[in-house]
Amino acid sequence: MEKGYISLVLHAHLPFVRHPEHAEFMEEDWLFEAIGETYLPLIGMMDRLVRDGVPFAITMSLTPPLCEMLADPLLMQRYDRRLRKLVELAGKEIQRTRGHDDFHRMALFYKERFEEELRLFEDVCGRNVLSAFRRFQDQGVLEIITCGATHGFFPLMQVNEKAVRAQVRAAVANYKKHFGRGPRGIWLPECGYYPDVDRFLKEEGIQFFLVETHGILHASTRPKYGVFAPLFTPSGVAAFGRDVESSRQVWSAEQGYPGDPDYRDFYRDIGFDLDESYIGPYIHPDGIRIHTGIKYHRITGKRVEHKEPYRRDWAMEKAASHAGDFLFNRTKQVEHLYGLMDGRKPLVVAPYDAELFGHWWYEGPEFLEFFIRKAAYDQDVLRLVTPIQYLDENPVCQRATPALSSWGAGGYNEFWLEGSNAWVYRHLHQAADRMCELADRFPHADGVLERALKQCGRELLLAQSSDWAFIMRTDTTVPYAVKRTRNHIMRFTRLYEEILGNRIDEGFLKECEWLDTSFQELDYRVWAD
Amino acid sequence: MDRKALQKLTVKALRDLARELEIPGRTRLTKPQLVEAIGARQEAVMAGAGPAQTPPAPQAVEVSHGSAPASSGRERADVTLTDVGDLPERYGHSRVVLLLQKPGYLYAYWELRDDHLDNARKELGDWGALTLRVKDVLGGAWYDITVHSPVGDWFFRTEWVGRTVLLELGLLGPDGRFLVLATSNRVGIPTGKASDRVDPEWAVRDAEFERIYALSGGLANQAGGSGDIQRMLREGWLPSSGTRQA
Repeated sequence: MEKGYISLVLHAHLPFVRHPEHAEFMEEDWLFEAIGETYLPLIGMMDRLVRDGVPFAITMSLTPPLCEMLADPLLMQRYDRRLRKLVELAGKEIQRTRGHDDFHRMALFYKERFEEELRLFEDVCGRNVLSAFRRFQDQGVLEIITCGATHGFFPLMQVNEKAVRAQVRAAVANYKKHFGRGPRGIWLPECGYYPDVDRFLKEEGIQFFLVETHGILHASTRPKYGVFAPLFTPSGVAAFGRDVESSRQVWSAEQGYPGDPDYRDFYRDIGFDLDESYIGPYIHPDGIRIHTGIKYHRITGKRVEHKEPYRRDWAMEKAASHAGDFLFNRTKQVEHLYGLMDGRKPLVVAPYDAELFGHWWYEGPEFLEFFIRKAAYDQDVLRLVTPIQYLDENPVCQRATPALSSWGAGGYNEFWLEGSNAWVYRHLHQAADRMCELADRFPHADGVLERALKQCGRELLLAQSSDWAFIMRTDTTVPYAVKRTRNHIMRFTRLYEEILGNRIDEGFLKECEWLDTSFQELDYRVWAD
Repeated sequence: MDRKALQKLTVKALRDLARELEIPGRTRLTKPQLVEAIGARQEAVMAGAGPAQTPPAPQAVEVSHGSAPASSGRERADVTLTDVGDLPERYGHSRVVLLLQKPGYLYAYWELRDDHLDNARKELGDWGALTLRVKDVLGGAWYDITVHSPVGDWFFRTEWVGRTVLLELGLLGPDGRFLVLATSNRVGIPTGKASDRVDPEWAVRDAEFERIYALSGGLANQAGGSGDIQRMLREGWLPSSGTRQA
């Protein structure tokens, strides 16, 4: 019998980026890279684990914007086109690298890898990545949870709680559309929790959410078991706190695995390294250099200029040994905690950005697979569970209200509220108030008016995405984030004024509907009282 | 350009510059206000004190995924999305909103309608300082921050943690009379500490709690999360400098 549990939670999210008005749009690559480097490898992993009969349980949040993009025919067609070009490029690389053994071996590897990606996309997923995730959920190995409709940061929306509730309601409706039932759990965007926001989750039948460590530790009464048992909030929804130790081993600058010298270097990419006459067809049509995904070097060492060639066999050995180390540390942790918790089995909750595995840390999916297989066969101290499985086995938990918290730097709201991005809130709050006003004023709209109200809702949701403030803060692709915020607010404002003035310009409405297509199922009444 | 250099420009040149920088309300600003607004825009504004930046001007730049640098010298053409004009500078009401940045740090934005302000000025005999009053909702204590613009925002510190606060925005007369023109939402400021309260059903001794608190990571710095990986990458956790260009 095991002495405790571990919950792996992968948060998969990207902002809704889809530009039908451009033949190619660079920010759409965020999705394409994540599909190829993270989502498909995870699907391949789960496919193998299920086939081999390995017992496991993973929790993944697939946010509504991500689901909407993965179900979008235009984006999937563009992804398919990009993937086929990659296969072609890898073929050329095999020729180009003849005579350089290390690179040549990797070129062959990439060709095979992209062909495997294509096979996963077409055969395993039937060109529908969501359906593959849904299948694993139906098989009981994956718990898919939802998120705020567009990853709006709840603690900074609290000034109008109807806007928070609408983010939850719209997300649940979207989840039902994609997965055929309601979600049992939610990833609060950026783990942003404020006291009592859980009552909106309860209203929608959600049973649990994830919260940052100090959300539990600084709860209204002292949590007897720290983060190693969930708390029931006053509404009855369970709050699971993040374990710092297991996060640090993966994330930390000093002790983290992904910085190992044997792992693949993120930056050295032939999209930047090779002559334009050769690489031209595979980078942005305007000649802007981009990551192709073909990278030949390993990290080599901290802050070193000279990069050694990547050795896949070394990297795989390292991933296996890191997985073993991670498992060893978790079993020691669980054994120690078990002795301190009056016989109650501790739960270690290990949440990560899904895109860390594969996109940032190329060997991340292999690390996970090694970990899951070792956990299944090499030990009997801990067992992988989802939060729901934990609650089924441990229905009695302490009641308390978690503290305001987020998983952003500093642990509160400052990443999304500082000099670079504070200006957005004046406009976001105003638009949210106006949306509530519209929903109350027109409870039974139909025809063009209903379409306009719906589009207002879409524009507001898209503007509320925490990604824009996040990008402004991180200082990359800032103009794009600013532009998105402005455009959604302005489209919203114009539609709002037209609706109130009873002069809806159908041409403009159509253009907005064509540009911002997400949430076709949206009911604008989610903002009503 | 520093403020001295800006002061040497004509009002028209300043307006042009303000337009380029998309400074809200630029057509209504006086020369010193323009100099101030442009100067403020050109400085990097740090969180923790002072106003936030206004929305940066859109510009064509190199864009790439996450923290990965784009390294072509060319500018992209496709960053211009279907454009629908400027964000409103005001929404035509008197309102003040209070947001928590982190324990000890607050942010407010506000807007006052001209007629509301004018009426209040008249009532105070053309006297009065535009003032944000920070109030402890339960304790009743308050202190004032003088502000200068009827449309603005401000980051400020507060000693009040573990309390619920709100803001009143109004005009403070020379006799101490305070005319409230807008009242904010309430904000609960977290203590940033473990609670002293113990649930008898889940009783835990101090020593036990201290141990589980430490094991939970309560004494460590935050474990890292969204954004940290990108920051680490950029700060050289994964070495990245200098070698990526062809």
